[in-house]
Amino acid sequence: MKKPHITDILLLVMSAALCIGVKLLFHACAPKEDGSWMACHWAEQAVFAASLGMSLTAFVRLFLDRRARAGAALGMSITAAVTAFIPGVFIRLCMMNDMRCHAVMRPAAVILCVLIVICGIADFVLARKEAAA
Amino acid sequence: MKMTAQGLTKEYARKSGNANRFTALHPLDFTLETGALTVLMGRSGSGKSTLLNLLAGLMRPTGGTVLAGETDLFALSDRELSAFRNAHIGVIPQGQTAIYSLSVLENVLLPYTLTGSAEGEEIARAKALLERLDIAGLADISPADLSGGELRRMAIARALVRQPEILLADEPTADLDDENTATVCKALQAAAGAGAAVLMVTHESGAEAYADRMLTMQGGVLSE
Amino acid sequence: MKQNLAYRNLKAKPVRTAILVVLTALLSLTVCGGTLLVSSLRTGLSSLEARLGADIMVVPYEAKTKSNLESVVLQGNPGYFYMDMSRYEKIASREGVGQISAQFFLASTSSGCCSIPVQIIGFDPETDFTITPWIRRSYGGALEPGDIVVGNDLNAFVGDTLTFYGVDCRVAAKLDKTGTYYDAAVFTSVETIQQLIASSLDKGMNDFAGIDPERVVSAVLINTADGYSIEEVLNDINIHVKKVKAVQTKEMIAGISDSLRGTSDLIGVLIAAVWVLGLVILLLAFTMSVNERRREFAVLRVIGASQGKLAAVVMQEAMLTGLCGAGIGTGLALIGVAAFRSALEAQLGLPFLLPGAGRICLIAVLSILAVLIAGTAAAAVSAYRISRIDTALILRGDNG
Repeated sequence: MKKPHITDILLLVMSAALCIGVKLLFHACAPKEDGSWMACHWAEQAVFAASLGMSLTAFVRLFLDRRARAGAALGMSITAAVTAFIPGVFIRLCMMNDMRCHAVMRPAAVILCVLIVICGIADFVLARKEAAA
Repeated sequence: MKMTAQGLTKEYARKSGNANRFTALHPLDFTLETGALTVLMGRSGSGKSTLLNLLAGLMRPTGGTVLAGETDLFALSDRELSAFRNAHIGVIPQGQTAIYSLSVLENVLLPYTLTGSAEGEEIARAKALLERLDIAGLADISPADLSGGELRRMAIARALVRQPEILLADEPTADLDDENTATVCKALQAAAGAGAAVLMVTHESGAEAYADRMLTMQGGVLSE
Repeated sequence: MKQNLAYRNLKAKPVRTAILVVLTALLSLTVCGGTLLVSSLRTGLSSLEARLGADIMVVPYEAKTKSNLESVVLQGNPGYFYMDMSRYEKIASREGVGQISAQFFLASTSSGCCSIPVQIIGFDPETDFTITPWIRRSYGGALEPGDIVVGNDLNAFVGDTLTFYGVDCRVAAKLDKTGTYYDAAVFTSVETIQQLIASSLDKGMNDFAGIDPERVVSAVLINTADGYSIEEVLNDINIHVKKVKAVQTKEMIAGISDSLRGTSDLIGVLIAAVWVLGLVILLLAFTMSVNERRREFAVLRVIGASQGKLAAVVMQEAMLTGLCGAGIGTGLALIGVAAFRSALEAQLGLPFLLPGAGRICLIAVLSILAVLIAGTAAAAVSAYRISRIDTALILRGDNG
C-alpha cells in the first residue's frame, strides 16, 4: 500500500461516518408505539446499505494503483450523489418536516454525501494532474 | 559609488552597571573606495560590525554622517533608506540568513521580488551567480538542505544579484573551511574588480591575501 | 517571477497555518452561527406575533387552568377544548368588541400517512381576520367543504388527500413557512371541521363526548373596537361572561419573549467566551510565529524591506488566514444552521424562522469582516513589534 493521499483518507473517513452515523448518530425516527416502522426507516436502511458499499470501496481502493483508485473515487462520487437523493426523494420520509428524519437524518446524510462527491472529484482531478505531470 | 563617513561615532546605553554608556566607535573619518576590496580586521568586540551596520544604514549613529556617493544615508526616511539599500548596497550579514519558505534561487532573487518582480534577465543573472559560486545544482531546493558553506555562498549571490555599487560583508568566511573561504574571498574580489566598493569585516588573518587595502580596529578606533 | 512572501510563508508551515485557519474559522463559526440563531428566533417571534394577529383570545376556563392554552396555541402541541356557542354569542354582544371570530380545534390521531397527531384548526371565512389574510398569500380561492390548507412542515402537497377520522380531505394549498406551530397545523373551514369533530365523536375518539359539533367553539379571537382599551374589554369579558378566560395575546407571547431573551443572552455569552479565548490564542500564535522568524525579518530588512513592508508581510499573513478561516467558518455556520434548522427549532422549543436571504448575506459578510478585523488586530501587535526590530542586534554574532 502506497502512502495514502489526503483525499483517500477523507473518502474513507466520510463514507464510514455516513455508514456509522446513519445508524447511531443521525438515524431516522424511532419506531411507532406498536413497534412498526415508519417510511423513513427504509430510507435509513437504504442510506446505510449505500454507505456500507462506499466504505468498503474506500478501503479496498487504498490497495489499488493510482488509476484504479481515481476511477473508484469517481464511482464513489456518483454513488454518493445518488445516495443524497434517497431520503425524501426516492424514499418518502415522515409527514412532518420537524420530525427527526427530516430535521436530522436528511441534512446530515446530504451534507456527508456532498462532501464525498467533492472529495471523489478532487481525487480524480488530482490523479489526472499527477498523470499529466 | 564611494562611501564616506565623517565624525562617525556610536555609543550604546548599557542596561545595567555603573558606567551606563559605552563607546563602541570613537569618532572616525573613513572612506570606502570604489573598485577596491577593503578588509577590516580586529578582535571580537572591537567595533567592526558596528561600523559595518552604520555604513549599511541598519543602525543610527550617535554622531557623524555617512555619505553613499552624494546621498546622506541618515537624512533619508526609513522607506527611502530601505529603497536605497535595496538598489545600491549589498549586505552579507553574519551567520545563516536564509528565508526558509523560499528555494535557493528565490532567496537569491529576493532583492528584486521584494520590491517588484524578477524577469528573464534577472533570473539568468542569479543563475549565473549560483554557477560561479558552484551551487547552481541547488537552485531549486530548500535552504534547509544546504550546508553552512553553501548557505554563505547563497547569501553572497543574493548580495551581488543587483550588482550593488557598495558591498558590505560581515564575517563572510566565519566557520568555513579553507576551500570555501577562498571561494568567498574570490567572489568579493571579483565584485571589487567589477567596480564596487567592497568592505569585508573579519577577524581571520587569511583574508589579507585578497585585500587591496587593510584596516584594523581596536577598542572602537580605526587605523590603517 | 513574482513572490508573495506572506503566501509562501504560510505554505511553508502548513501545521501552523492550519491552526490559524481553524482558530479563525471557529471565531466566524460562533459569531455567524450565533447571530443567525438569535436572528432566526427574533424572526420567529415576530412571525408568531403577526400570526396571532388579535388583541384578545378567549378560551374555556378549563383550557386556561389546565395550561392547555399555551401548549396548544403557542407550542403547537395537538390538543382541543370546547365551549358552548352561547358563550361566543355573549362575548360578541359585549361592549368594546370590534372584530370577532371563532376558531375550532381538533387533534388528529395517527392519521393515514401522518404517523403523529396533527392540530386541525377550523375558522369561519366570513368573520376570520387572523388566518385568512395569511392563507390568501398562498391560496386565493375559497375553501370548499373537504378542502384543507396545510402548514409548511407537513409533508403533503396540493392535490394530496389526507384522511382524518375517516373523512377524506383534499389539500388545496400549502402555506409559507412561519417558524411557528402553524407550520405543523392543518386549516379548514368551519363546515369541514364540524364534520371532522362529528366523525371523531362517532368513532368515540374525542375526549368531549356528548357535545354538539355544530354548537361548540374552541376559542374566540377579538380585536377591540376604536376607543376601547384592550384591558377594558378583557376585564369586562372576564367579569361578565362565565366559564371563559380572556387573555391578552401579547401576554401569552411574553413567556416566549423571555425565553428568547434568555437564549440570546446565553448565545451572546458563549460567543464572547469563544472570542476572548480565540483572540488570546490568535495573539499568542502570531507573536510566536513572528518571534521564531525574527532573524528572517532582519534579513529582509538588510535586503531593503522597509518597516512598513515587514508589517505588511505579517498583516498579509493574518489577512490570508483570516479570509480563509472566516470563509470556512461562515460557510459551515450557514450550512449547519440552514440544514439543521428543524432540529434546532425542536431543541430550543421556540419559534424559529430563518431571516430573508438579504439578511443572511449581511450576517455572513459582517461575520467575515469581524473575524478579519479581529485577526488583523491580533497580528497588528506582532506586525508593529517586528517593524521596530533592531536588525543589527538580531544579526550580530559574537564578533562585534
